[in-house]
Amino acid sequence: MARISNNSTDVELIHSLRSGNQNALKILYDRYGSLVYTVALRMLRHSSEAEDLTQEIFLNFWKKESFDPNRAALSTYLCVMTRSRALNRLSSQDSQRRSLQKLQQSLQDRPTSTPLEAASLSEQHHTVKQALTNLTERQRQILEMNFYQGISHSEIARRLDVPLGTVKTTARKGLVELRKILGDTVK
Amino acid sequence: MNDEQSPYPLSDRAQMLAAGYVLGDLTPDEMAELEQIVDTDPEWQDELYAMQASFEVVPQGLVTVEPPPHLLDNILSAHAEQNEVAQQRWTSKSLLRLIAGMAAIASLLLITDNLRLRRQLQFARQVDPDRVASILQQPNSRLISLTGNATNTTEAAGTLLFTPGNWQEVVVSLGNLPPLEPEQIYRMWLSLENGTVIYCGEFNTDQDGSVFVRFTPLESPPEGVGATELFVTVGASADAPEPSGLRVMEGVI
Repeated sequence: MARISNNSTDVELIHSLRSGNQNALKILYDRYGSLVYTVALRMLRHSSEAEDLTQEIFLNFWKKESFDPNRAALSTYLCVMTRSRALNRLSSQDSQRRSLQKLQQSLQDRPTSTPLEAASLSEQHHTVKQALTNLTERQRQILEMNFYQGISHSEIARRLDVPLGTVKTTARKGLVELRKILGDTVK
Repeated sequence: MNDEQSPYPLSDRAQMLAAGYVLGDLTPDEMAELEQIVDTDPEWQDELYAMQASFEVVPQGLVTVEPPPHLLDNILSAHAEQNEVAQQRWTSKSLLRLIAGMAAIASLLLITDNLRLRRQLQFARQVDPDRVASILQQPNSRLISLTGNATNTTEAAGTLLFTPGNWQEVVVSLGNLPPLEPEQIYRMWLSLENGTVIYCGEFNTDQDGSVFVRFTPLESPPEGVGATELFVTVGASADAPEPSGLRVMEGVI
């Protein structure tokens, strides 16, 4: 078996992991464990549940062979999987699940991974954090409720006590703004 | 909704629709409008992907929380346990499935290469019978012969088993390969008719110079592009896989 190290690429580590090399799993966890745990904790809000989901994500990734590194970065794939499974645990509404499944499917449809995904995790963090600070507080709040709680815009409107049309427009404008700020890094 | 009702110029309007699509809140009318835009200007398909990618990276903006240190230990323990169970899963059901696969193939033996396939099945007793049986049970399974072509691999021979159209899973059985230095590794490659070479996986042999291994290549040949050749190289295990290493075996497809 090839010697792998902290410098090995994700693809090399995945090959090694699928051949049963546990050290590859450890390096992948060192790379992405915090990201998965952070998303899980943000969505599930309890550390024990976040730990449980993080373990599930990594063990399932070892067994599942659907990940295509040419279409998405591993960080994106793990985030989408974490979100998907967290929302399942939160028992979201069916309509929202359908939207979620569409998002998961989109990973398969996307032609290639983006320049942002190809950047280091710390660069990705920096870029996205900066981009999000350019949104209005309300735009960020609604986008995050959509992403992390998986609730419909009608439900968001009810919880925030604002008209549905306002929620839809604010969410869309927020995402358009985010897209504009990220520019060619997501093309 | 039509453009006269829209407060935005077309591109802004289309961007809002693309965002609504990604957020999953388009009305049927808006969906029809977006589809029309994408049909008229295929560049909007790329814009949809970009919008999607923008939404997917939202969690990258979170302040990172480090998981507790014991979580890694838990994951590694669970992995070791599941790995062991997977390797030991040689149930009577598996055996029956393998035998069924062998029986199905047995009829083919009469019209194909009897000796080679029997050898393949001998190997199959050693490793992962479920997967081998599963591939063998496919009516269009194919075996590709590989032979040694380097001075020290003239005795080497073996086979690759796969199902056409499903390159995500192949089974390889090789014998009489010379042992390698500790820092070296064998790697298998697939050449395509368009000149591309796909990496299949890497392996080392047992003490007898044999290997029986299942690969799950991360890449597959693009649709409509045929494969022409398989080959095995030797390289330094610490190096990234490169098909330019010393060729020691090959097989024509």
